[in-house]
Amino acid sequence: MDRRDFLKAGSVAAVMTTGTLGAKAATKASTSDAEISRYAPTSLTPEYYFDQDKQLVENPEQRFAFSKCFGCFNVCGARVSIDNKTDKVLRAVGNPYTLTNNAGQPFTMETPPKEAMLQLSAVSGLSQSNRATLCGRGNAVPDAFEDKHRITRCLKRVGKRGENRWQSISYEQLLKEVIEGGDLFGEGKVEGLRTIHDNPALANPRYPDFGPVKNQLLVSTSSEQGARADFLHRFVKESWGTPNIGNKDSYCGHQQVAGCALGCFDAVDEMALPQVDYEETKFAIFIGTNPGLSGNGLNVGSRRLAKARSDRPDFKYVVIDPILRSLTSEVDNSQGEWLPIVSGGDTALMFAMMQYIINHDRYRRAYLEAPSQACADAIGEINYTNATYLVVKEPGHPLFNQFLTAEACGVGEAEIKMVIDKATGQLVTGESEQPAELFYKGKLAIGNGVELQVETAFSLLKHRVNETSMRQLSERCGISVAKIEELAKEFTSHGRSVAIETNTGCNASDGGQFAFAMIMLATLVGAHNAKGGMMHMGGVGYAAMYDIYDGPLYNLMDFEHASLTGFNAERSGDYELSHEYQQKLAKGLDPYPADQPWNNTFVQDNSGELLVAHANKNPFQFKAWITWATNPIYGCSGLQDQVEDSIKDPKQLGLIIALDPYINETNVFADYIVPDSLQYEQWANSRMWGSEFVGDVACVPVVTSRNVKTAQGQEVNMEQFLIDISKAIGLPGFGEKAFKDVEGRDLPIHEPADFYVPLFANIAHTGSVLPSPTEEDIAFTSVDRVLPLFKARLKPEEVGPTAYMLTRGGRYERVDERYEGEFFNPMMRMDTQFQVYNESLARVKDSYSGEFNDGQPVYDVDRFWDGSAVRALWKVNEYPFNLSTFKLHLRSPYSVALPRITALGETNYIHLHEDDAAKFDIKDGDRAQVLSPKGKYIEGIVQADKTVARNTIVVGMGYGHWCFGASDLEVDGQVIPGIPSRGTGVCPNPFNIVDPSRKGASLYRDKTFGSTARHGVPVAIRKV
Amino acid sequence: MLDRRRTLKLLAGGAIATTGMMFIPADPVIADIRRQGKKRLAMVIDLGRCNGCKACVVSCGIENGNLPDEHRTQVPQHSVDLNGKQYVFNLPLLCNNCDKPSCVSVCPTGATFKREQDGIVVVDSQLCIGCNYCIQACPYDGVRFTHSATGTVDKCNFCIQRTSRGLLPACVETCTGGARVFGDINDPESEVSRLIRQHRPLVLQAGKQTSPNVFYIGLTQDESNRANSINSPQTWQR
Repeated sequence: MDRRDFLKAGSVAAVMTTGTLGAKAATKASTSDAEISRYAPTSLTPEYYFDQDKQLVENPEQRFAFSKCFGCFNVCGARVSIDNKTDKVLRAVGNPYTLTNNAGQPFTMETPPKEAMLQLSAVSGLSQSNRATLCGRGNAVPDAFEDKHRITRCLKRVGKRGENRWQSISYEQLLKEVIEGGDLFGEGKVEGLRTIHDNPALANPRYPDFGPVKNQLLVSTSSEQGARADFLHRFVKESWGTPNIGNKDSYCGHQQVAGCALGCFDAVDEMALPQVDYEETKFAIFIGTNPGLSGNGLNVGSRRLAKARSDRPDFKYVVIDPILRSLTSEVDNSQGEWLPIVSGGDTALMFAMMQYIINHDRYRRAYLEAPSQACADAIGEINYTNATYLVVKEPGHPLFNQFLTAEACGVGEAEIKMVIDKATGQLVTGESEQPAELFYKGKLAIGNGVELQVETAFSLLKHRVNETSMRQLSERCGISVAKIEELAKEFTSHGRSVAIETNTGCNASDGGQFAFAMIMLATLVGAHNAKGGMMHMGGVGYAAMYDIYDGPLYNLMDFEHASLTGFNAERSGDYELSHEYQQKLAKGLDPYPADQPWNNTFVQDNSGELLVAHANKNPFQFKAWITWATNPIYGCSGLQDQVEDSIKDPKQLGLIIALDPYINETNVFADYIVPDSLQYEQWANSRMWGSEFVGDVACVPVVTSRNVKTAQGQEVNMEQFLIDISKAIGLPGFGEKAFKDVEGRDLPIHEPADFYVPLFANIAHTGSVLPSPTEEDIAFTSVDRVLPLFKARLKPEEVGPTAYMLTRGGRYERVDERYEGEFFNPMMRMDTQFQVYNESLARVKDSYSGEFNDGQPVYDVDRFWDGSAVRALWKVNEYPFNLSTFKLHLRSPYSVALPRITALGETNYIHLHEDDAAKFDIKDGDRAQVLSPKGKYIEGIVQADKTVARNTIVVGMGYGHWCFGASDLEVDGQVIPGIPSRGTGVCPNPFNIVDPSRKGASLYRDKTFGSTARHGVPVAIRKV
Repeated sequence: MLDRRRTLKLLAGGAIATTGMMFIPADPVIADIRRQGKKRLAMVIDLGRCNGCKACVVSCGIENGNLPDEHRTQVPQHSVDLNGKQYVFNLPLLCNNCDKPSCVSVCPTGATFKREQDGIVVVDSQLCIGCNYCIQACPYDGVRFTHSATGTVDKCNFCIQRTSRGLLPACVETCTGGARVFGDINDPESEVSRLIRQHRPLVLQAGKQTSPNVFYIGLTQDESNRANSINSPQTWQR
């Protein structure tokens, strides 16, 4: 029985007693515990069982709880069983309430937890399609707690940085040393955090616009840590006040998120990452991603794909990627297909498809002709575009490359743009309710006797996509013209019910442009927000939908914020506002090129670029670095050899503090390590990546941290450390009077619960207030263990709704009706004007050339920052291949700590097509070196077959660690040997290229956004 | 493009004799089981829903206390060339808990036997002497192995500690694609029965005459006849 029908049928209880379809309730009588212990001597004892009356009987030796999954950053929900005696998590599976573990029909918040467990069991007799899963990583994480390389004590470096030798010290000693500084290592005086913070002088008088000395604190973090990241950001921005906080997004795939947004908003600093509507789409293209394999939740992606393939004969999909993965099965060969593409050829394919679609008039003409929402409404469309808007092409005119405005025509405001009415040919405002001309190019009288050369956005697009021939585009992407035409026809044969999805894999220097073009493809057929089309509101959490830090009960940001001044050191901002630019102008110099690249479009907060700035001493070097749960040296393409010397040297960087349970390739250089809580020991609250609707996973620590305690008896972790240094230095937002409740009463933050308890209360009371849970719900989900923390901090009436959220492992809004007619329901839509021409982008200058960006996607060869062609420097005859990388199904840089994941494969491979390999006398199984123009190489085993695109070498991520437990660790003279299985294989990041057109240390950049690029870059191969 | 399922149906409809290929549909196996009228636990694996994610492999190891590199279930993967196009083949393997198990009769101590009440083939660890006769007798390579920690033979027993308590096997609970379905083949209303009715799945190496209780939807006859091993080298790192 389908769960939807099942719920419609009436109350759960009624169905349970009458409609269990003859399922036989298991009884303990049929198989005794003694028998089980003989047949399954090493197996776990279940956390509960169901008796003859289908009543859940708890196992008194275990407890059950909901938590967040920490296997990766997809942010799924977990249900875990915990051994009471050892306080160990025994197993973890998916939380059936969350929107990422139970695809399609997650349980409603009203379902009591025990009832939910019954529905997941065999005795319910319900369809097993309602299962709530965790992927292999999620299943494997319980082993992390026992990892011998886990850090649970406070450590201080012994010997030189990077030797991985440590002594354990007390938390209090650590605090004192990092705050007050001194000659801590016999290497000379180290400035403590207090001195750095309190110094009002400029960090570097030559660069006054980069702020005071306190900006010389660098903080680096990972992504998708939800409320924990918010906690850290609150410390960095509002309490300390430094702009220099780096994350991993921009060396992961940020340019594609920003690029998608170029097609969705008249802005250059927005984000969008639409998903395929698996449930109704007729044709889906996955490019630079495989369904569920990068970001958009593996659990939900796997299920939705499998369901669409199995249940819908009218579902077809193609995965376009340099390497065949596991998602296009031979069994479904009539529905799914893998199409190899040369690494770096993604934009070429988008342009080729657009060329075919536009030249053959296969676009959704009426949709594109609508200049306004009113017109869209009239013709049955849900959104409209700016395809008909007139772009001024009169050189020298103030509106050159901007839209012709009503103001310029003397008929209205500057915000209102002009179009040509389709029926009358008259110039009218874009507010017109009538269709407008898609194709216009020529001189136009705009009134007052003024004539201007103008062209519609769509006419410009047609011209743009025809600038390069189909044959050239085909050659660039390695896909035949016939196949391109087939794709274009298929994409335009199902109305709006087609979709295209990407995620981090289209990572050449034009990744931002690719994503802009990809969104344009969907715009051509009006697939945005359409049933079966592009779903734009996935993965949204409460923090994005509501301001959960600002009421309704507690205003967690209500304190006097620290002053925050200066550009960040990676130069995100408008170059023309910089001191450097002004100085050059004052001296009569050409201000272009800038000394170093600027991110004029988007604040990248790229940990890699911040370290590059440090290595270049430009604008300054950092005095202290706090690094939490991130590993740019391993993960950022090209970075290691650019910055490592400047990190190793205490003279260049005085103090490095790592907050982490693991020693990785980056924080191995730390002076001090503060053990962070691990996985289920954490407070957590986060959106769910890949969810179809609004929801948050929220959890309290469900096991006690193994970490040492402070002298006051608190667990040592990231939050406690930041609280304690803030209190010692006197930073606002911590200690007494850290924030206020809505009545204006001051409240303190002395430990993590002081922050998370009111936050959770806010979420539980946002919108409609949640009800209170039953005693049974509370006891069964082990929320009773933490209830005192809530009772001590909340008003009595606030405890119930907050606890209710925890008894479901989070809060999830319900989708009753997914669609409204041919579109998503309003809550699931991102209603916006889709951009055929992005005016904002056309106003942003390139920091090298000083020229404006184009308002439309650009197809180009890969270029360095200075505009020179990559292939002009590193020629095809010398470096015949383009490099691509990918994230393996389960193995990741972090899951290497999980023995059940490392056991799934000893090594990764160097993948290339067998015909390409043969040219170099290489065959499957040989050892070979992949050579980078940087002069470095990686060496590994070759897999040469037909499952790789031609002219492309592909290497998977997650292998080749040299830290993270792969090498020996010494604490207090005791050596903990490295674990060989963590160090096998190769990591393709350190050897990858950087940008030789930049001064000093550098990274290879996305042309539009400045994110670190890693694909499509020249490499060679040599047999060993 | 060739629709493999349709081809299968055509084959089943009578084209077998002309190909000379041995074709043994699962129907007689199921009929055999059904004739006994007893509860017979079985697994149906819909290969069309399997995405090769291996969540089953990991959850099985955690649940059953196996060492990370000793597997009761595994998903060997490799590429397949069909009409010049490349696809992946994901094949979850586990003990078939056969109706006519070749492992039982060779066991000198009676440690391995087929349970009357549900058809699960178990190994009684207190009786197992580790002689490995059952491992050699089993036509499904690697599904039986010696558990390094106990020294006795280990294998999938459909998570008897869970399934005898009203729960689902660990691999089924966490199968991300929803490919693995578990239940009583003799309960006509069960999901496995419904899937078997709808899809006429095949079993692996039917020619070995062991009447497996693991059924595969989407397997070709040729693939079903092939011998696979749980211990295949794990070279599909993607």
